[in-house]
Amino acid sequence: MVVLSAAIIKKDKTLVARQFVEMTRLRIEGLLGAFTKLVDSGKDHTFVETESVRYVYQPMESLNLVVITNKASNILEDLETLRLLAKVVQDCCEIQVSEENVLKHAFDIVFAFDEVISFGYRESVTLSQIKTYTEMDSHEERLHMMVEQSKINEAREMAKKKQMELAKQRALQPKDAAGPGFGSDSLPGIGPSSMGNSSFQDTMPSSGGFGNDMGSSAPWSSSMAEDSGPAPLKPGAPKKGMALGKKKPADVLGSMGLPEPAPSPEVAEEPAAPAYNPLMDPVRVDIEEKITADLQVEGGLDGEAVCTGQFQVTVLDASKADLAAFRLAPQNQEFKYKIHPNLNKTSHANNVLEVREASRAYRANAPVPLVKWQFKSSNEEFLPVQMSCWPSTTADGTQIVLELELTDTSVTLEDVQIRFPAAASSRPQITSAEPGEASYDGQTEVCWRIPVLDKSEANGNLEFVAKTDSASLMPFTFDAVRRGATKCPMEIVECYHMEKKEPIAFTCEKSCTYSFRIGA
Amino acid sequence: MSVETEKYCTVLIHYEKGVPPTSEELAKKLESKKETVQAEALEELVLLMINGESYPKLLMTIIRFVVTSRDHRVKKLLTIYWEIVEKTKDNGDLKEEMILVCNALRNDLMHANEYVCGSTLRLLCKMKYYRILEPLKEAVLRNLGHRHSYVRRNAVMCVFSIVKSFGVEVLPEAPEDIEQLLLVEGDLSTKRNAFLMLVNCDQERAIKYVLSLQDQVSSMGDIFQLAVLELVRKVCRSTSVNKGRFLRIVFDLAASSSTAVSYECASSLVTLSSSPVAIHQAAQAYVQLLTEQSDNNVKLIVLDRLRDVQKHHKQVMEGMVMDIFRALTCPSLDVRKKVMDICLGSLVSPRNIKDVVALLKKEVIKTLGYEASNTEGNLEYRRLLIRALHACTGQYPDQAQSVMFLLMDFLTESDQTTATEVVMFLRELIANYSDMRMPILQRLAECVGDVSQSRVLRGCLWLFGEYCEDEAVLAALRPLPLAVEDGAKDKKEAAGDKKEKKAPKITTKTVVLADGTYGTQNVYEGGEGEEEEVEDKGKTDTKKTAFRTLLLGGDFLLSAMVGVSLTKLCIKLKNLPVALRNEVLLVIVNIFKLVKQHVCGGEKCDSAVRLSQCIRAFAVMGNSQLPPPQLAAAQLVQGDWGAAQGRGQLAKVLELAAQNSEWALGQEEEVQEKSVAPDECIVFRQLRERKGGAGPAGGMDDDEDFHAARGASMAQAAADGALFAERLAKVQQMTGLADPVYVEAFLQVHSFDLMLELLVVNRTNETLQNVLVELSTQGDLKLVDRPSAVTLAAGQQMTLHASIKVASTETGIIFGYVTFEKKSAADKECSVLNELHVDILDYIERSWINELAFRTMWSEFEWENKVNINTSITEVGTFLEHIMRNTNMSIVGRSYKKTGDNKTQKKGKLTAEDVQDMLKDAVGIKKLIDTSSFVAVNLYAKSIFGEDALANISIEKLPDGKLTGSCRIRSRTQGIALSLGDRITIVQRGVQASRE
Repeated sequence: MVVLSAAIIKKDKTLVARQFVEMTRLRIEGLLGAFTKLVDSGKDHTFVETESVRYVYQPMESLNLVVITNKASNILEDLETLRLLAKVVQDCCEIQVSEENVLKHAFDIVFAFDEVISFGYRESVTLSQIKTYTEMDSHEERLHMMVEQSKINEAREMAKKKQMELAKQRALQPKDAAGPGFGSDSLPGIGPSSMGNSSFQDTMPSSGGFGNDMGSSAPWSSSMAEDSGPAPLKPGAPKKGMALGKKKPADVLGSMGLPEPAPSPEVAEEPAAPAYNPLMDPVRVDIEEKITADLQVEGGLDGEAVCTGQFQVTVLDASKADLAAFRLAPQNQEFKYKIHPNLNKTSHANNVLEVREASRAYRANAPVPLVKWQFKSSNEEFLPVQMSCWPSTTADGTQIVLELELTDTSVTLEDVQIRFPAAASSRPQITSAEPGEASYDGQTEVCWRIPVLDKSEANGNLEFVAKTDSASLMPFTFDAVRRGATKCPMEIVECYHMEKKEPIAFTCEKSCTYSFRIGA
Repeated sequence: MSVETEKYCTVLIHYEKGVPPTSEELAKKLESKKETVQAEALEELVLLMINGESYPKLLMTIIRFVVTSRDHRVKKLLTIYWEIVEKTKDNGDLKEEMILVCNALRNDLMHANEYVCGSTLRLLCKMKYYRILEPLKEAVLRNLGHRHSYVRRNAVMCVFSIVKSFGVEVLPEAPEDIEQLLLVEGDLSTKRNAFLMLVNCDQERAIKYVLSLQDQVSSMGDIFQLAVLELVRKVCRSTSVNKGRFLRIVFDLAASSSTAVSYECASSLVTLSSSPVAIHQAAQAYVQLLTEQSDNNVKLIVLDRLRDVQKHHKQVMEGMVMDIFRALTCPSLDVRKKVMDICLGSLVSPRNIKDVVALLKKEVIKTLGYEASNTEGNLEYRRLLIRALHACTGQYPDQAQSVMFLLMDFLTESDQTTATEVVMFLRELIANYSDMRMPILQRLAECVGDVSQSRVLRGCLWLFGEYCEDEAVLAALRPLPLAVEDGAKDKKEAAGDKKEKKAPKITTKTVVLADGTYGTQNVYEGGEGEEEEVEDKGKTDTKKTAFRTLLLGGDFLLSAMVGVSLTKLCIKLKNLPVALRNEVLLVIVNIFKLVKQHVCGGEKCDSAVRLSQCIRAFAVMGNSQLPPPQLAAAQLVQGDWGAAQGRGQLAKVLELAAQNSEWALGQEEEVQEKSVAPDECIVFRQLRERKGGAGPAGGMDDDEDFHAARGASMAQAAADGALFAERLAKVQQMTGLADPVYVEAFLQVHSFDLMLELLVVNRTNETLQNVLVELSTQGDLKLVDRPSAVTLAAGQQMTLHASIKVASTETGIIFGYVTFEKKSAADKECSVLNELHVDILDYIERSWINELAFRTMWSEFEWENKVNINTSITEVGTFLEHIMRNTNMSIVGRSYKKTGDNKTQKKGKLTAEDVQDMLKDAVGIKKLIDTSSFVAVNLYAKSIFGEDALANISIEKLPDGKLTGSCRIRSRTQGIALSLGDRITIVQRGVQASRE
C-alpha cells in the first residue's frame, strides 16, 4: 500500500504531481504520460492497471486527480486516500477545480498532499487537521514571541530602574562629583567600577542576553521597538543600561526615534525671591484635569468617578528658563502622584519640582508633563452636578425629561453640553430647554448647550419627544469645563532657575474637564 | 554513496515560463524586505527550477536573505526549494554553501512553531546527503520527544529515512529511542510511523512489540493494523518461527471493522498460508467486501484477488460460488463479466450446477423486466448471461432442457448478437445430445417464422438441413421449414411478379401447389400459408415479411442457404413424395431466378452457382440427363450432403470453440502449472536476485512489486546479460570513423521511455572542447534530458546519456549533430549525425482478441493504411510468418495458450517458434495455405499504450509463383496505422535482403 505519486492531470499535461517515494523524473513523467493514454472515460470504474502500477483516479470537473500505487496496494486504502486528496484539492481551489485554480494554488495543494501521505503511507488525518497543519498557526510560537517580547520589555524596565537608582545616588552624592556635562558624553565611562554599585552589575547578564537576542533578530526587534513607541518621553535610561559594552542595542534604540529628554537643573537650593516680569513669561504651566464617570439614568454613580490630571510645563524662553524649578504648595495626599522620571524624586517630596541633573534641561517650546495624578471616588459628592432623566413611553415614541442641578455651588461650569443620540428616523421634537438652548442636528443627536452654569442658575431641565424607544436614546453624555481651578489643589508657590536661583515669571492655566456618560 | 548520485523528482508543477527571468531580476525580488514579494519570488524560482531552469547563483541570495525570514509561507516554500536545488558541485561533492543551510535547518528544527519543525523534518526525509544530516542528527532525535504529535510523527519518519539511507550505524540509538516512543505514544500516525521504522530497520524489536501486544492489536487504529500486517507478511516469509502466533493475529484482525484492514488480512492469509481454513477465511472476507462495497473499483480488484485464489484453491472456493454470484446485482458490466469469469471457470461442479443455472435463469428473466430493459448495458448483460448458460449447460446436459426453451425465446430478438448466441447454443446442444434434437427442432420450427435476422435464419436452416433425418422427427418437422420457405417464397414470387411483370404462371402454380401439399399434411400450416397468400395479395407486409424482404433485398447467402437446406432435406429423405420434391425444386428454381435477375446478383455470383448446384442435385435424383461432368459433380454433392459430413465439420468447429471459449468449464489448468520440468532451476527466495524466475504461486513480494512500480533501477538492468547482447546487436553508428568525433548510439527501450546511450570518441590528436551532442526528435518523442557538453582529450572516449519520452506508438526519428571546438580554430565545428529510427515494434505487443470484437473495431476505426504486397517470398505461409514475426501481430480468434507458461522470454514479443505454433494451430488457415491460392487472415496486436492495431492480409498466389494482394491496417489513430504500414513495407522488402 504505497502511494508513489499523487497528481492532478489535465488531458495532456500534468498540472501538479507530488511524489512520495524516490523516483526519477523520467519514470514519473512516463507514468503520468501513460495515464492520459490509458484512462477511458466511458468506464464505470476508475482505476487502470498496467504491468507495474495501478492508477486510481477521480475526475474533478475537466481534470483528473490520480493516485499512482503499486499493484499490490490496498485498493480500499487508496480510495480512502483519494477521497481525502479530492477534498483537499477542492478546499485549496476554493471555488472551482479548474486548471487555472489548480496552478494558482499549486503550492498549497502540494503542501496539503504532504500532510495526507507520508512515505507513501496514508496518515490518519482529517481535512480540518490538514488545514491546521498548513496554516501553521502555532500557539507555541505566539507564546514564544510573547515571552521574548516580555523579556525585552523586562530588560528595558530593569535598565530604567537601574538608571534611576544611579541618578538618585548621584543626586545624593556631593555636587562636585557631578560637574556639568558629567555623564552627558561620557556615558560609557560610567562604569560600575566608578560607581561601586554592585546591584548594577547584577543587571549585566540579563541586558547582555537581551543584546544577543536583538543582534540575532534585528528585523524583528525593530518592529518590536515600534510597538513600544507611544512613550513619548522615554528617557535615555535604556540607552545607558544597554550601552554598557554593547553597541548594537544602542543603535536599535536610537532608531526608535525617542526624543532626547531635556537636561534640567540638578541641585535643589534655597530659592531666591521670585522676580516677576509681567510682559514676558518665559514659562507656561498648564494644569489640566479630567473627570470621567459613568452615571445611572436615575442619578447616582455607576462604578467610580475617575479624576486624572497633569502638570505640564512649556518653556518658551530656554535661555532664561532651561532649568526651571517649581515650588508647590503642600499637596493633598489623597491624590496619587507620579513624577516624570527626569525629575528629582527627593526634592519632590519637599514639594519642589526640579530636574535630576542639568543635562536634562528643558527644551524650548516642548511641553513636558512633570507630574500626573489620579484620584478615584465612588462618592457622588465628588461630582459637581446631579442629573435625573425621566423617559416615558408615549403613543408614538418616548418623552424624555431631564433635570440638571448644580450641587456644588462653588463651581462654575462652562460650555455644558448634553447630547442624546437620536436617529433621523425618530424625528425628535424639543418641547422645552431651560436654561441654554437645545437643538437637533438633523442626523445623529439632540444637543443641549448651556454656556454657563453657576450658582445663579443652578437648575435646568430639558424635555423632548422622539419616535423611538427609550433604549435607543441612551446613553447620553454630559461634558463641561471648569476653568481656573482643579479638583486637586495644585498651586505654584514660586518658579525659579535651578542653578541661577533667579525667579522666573510664569503663567499658569488651570482647567478641569468633566465628561460623563449616562445610562450606558 | 550511490544514494547520493541518483537524482529523484519529488514534485512537478506545470508552469508556462515564457521568457525566464535572469538571476539578477529574481535576486532583487528575493532581497526584498517585504515578505509577500519574497514569497512570490521564491515561488517563481521554484516553479522555474521544477521546469528545468537552473539558477545556481541564487543559492547564496537565498541563504542570505530568505532563510532569515520568519514568514511561514516563505519557510514552507523554502523546504521545496531545498528539495529541488542542486546540492552538489559538478564533481558530485557537496557544495560548501550547504553547510550554511545546515545551520538554518537546525534553527528550524528547534523552532517554536511546531509546524515549521514538522515540515523541516519532512524535508530532511528527502535529504540524501549525510554531510547535511550529520550535524542535525541530534536535533532530530530531540524532536522525537517533542510535545506535539505533529513533530514527533515527522521526526520518526526522518529518523527512519536516515537509518534507511545510511544504515543504523549513524544513529545507533535510534531503534531504542523509537521503541520507547512506540510504547508511550498516543498519536496514531506517530505510532504507525514508529512501528514502520522498526519493521524496516529493526525487525526483532518490531516482532517483540507485536507479540507483546497480542490481543490489543485488534483495538488499534486501522493504519497501525495495516502496518502490523505488513510486518507479519515480511516476517513469515523469511522465517516460520512465530508463524502460528502471527497467523492468530491476522485471524483476529480479519474481524476488523475497517474494510481496508480486512482486505489486507485476506491477502495476507492467502500469501502466507495454504490451509483450507485460512483460505476460506480469506475468501469469505473478499466475498464480503465484494458484496458490501458499492464501489466498482473495489469490486473489480477484489474479483481479481478472488480469481487468484480460485486458481490455486478451487475446492475452497466452490462453496462460495453462489455468494460471488451475488455481485451480479451490480450494474457494471465489467464486474459482471469478471464474476462470470471466476465462477464459470472451474467452480461450477455437479454439486452446484443446479443452483447456478437457476440463478442465471432468474437473471435472464430479470433482464426482460420492464425497468431492466431501459437500463444501459442490459443487452450486453443478457448476452453475457446467455453465453454463461451456454457454457454451463454445455457441460451438464440435464440442465440444458430447463433453459433451452427460455433461450429460444430470444431467437426472435431484434439484437443480432443475442439471437446468434442462442443459435450457437442450440447448435451445440443438437450436435452433442441427440436426445434433445427432436424437441429443439420442433420448437425451432415453431418460431423460425418470427426470426428476422439473416444470420440467425441461416443458422436455423442449416440445423434443419443437417439434423432433420429421423423419420419420426421429420413427420412432425418437415412441413414446417418448407412451409415457412414456401410461404416466404409465395410472397417473394408475388412481389417479384409485381416488379418484373413476369412469370405470372409460376406464381399461381406455386401457390396452388403449396396449398395443396400442406392442406393434406397439416391443416394448420396450410391455413397459415393461405393466410399469407391473402396478406400477400393485399400487399400488406406483416409478420413474415422479414424473411421475404431479406430474400428480395439480395441476401444471397440466405438464398443459397435456403436452397441448400431444402436440397439436403430432400436428398436425405428418400421416400419423399415426388410432388413435394417437385415443389421444392420449383422453389429453388425461383430463388435462383431471383438471384440471377437481381442487380447485384447475376449468373456468376456465388449464390447462383450454389443454387444451380442444388438444382443439379435434384436433377440427378430425378434421373434427368445431364452432361457427364455435371453429373459427376452433382453426384458428389449428393453424396456429400447425404453422408452428413457437415456434422463432422461441426464437431471440429465446436471443439475449437470450446478451446477458445472464455470459460473452459471443468478444465484444469492447475495440473499444468504444478508440473515443473526436472531440469528447471529451483528458486530460493532468499537467494533470489531481482530477476528470479516465476515466484511460487500467488506469493507476490511487496518489495519487488514496489520496486517494479518505482521503475527498476537502471544499474540492475545494465547488469543483465540480455541487455548486453542487445547492446551489441543494436548499436548504431552515427558519424563516420574518420570524423573528428565518432559517435555511436544505442537506444534502450524502457516501457514508456527511451534511454539513448551515446559513445563519443575523440578521433583527433587534439583536445576537443565543448563537445556537445545536440539532439532533436520528430514524431511523438520528447527529449527529457539532454546530454551535457564535455571536453575530450585526444583519443578519449566517453559515454553520454539522453532520455526521451515516448507519447504514442508512432515511428519516431531522432536526429541531430555534434559540435565541438578545437583550440587552434576559432569557430565551432560540427558534424551531422545519422538518423536514428525508433522501432515501432518495441511498442507493439501481441495480444489476443475474438473475432466479433475484431469486426466491431474494424468497422469502427477511421484510419486505414493499405499496403500492397510486394515480396520475393513465394510461399504464403512463409510470408505470413515473416510478417507476423516482424510486427508482433497474431491471428485473430485464437488465444495463444502455449506461450503463456514460457515466462523466461520477453513478454509481448513473438518468436519464430510462436508464430509457427500459431499457424499450425490455425487449422482453417493452414488448410487454406496448403490448398488454395487465396488466403486471407486477420491479425491483431496492441500497443503498450493500449491502442489497438488491426490488420487484414489478403494474398493471392499467382500462377507464376509470385504473391500479390494487399495488407490493410486499421487503427483508431493515424500514427499507428501509418507506422505499422511503413513497418510492413520495410519488412517485406527487407526479406529480400535477408533471403539473398
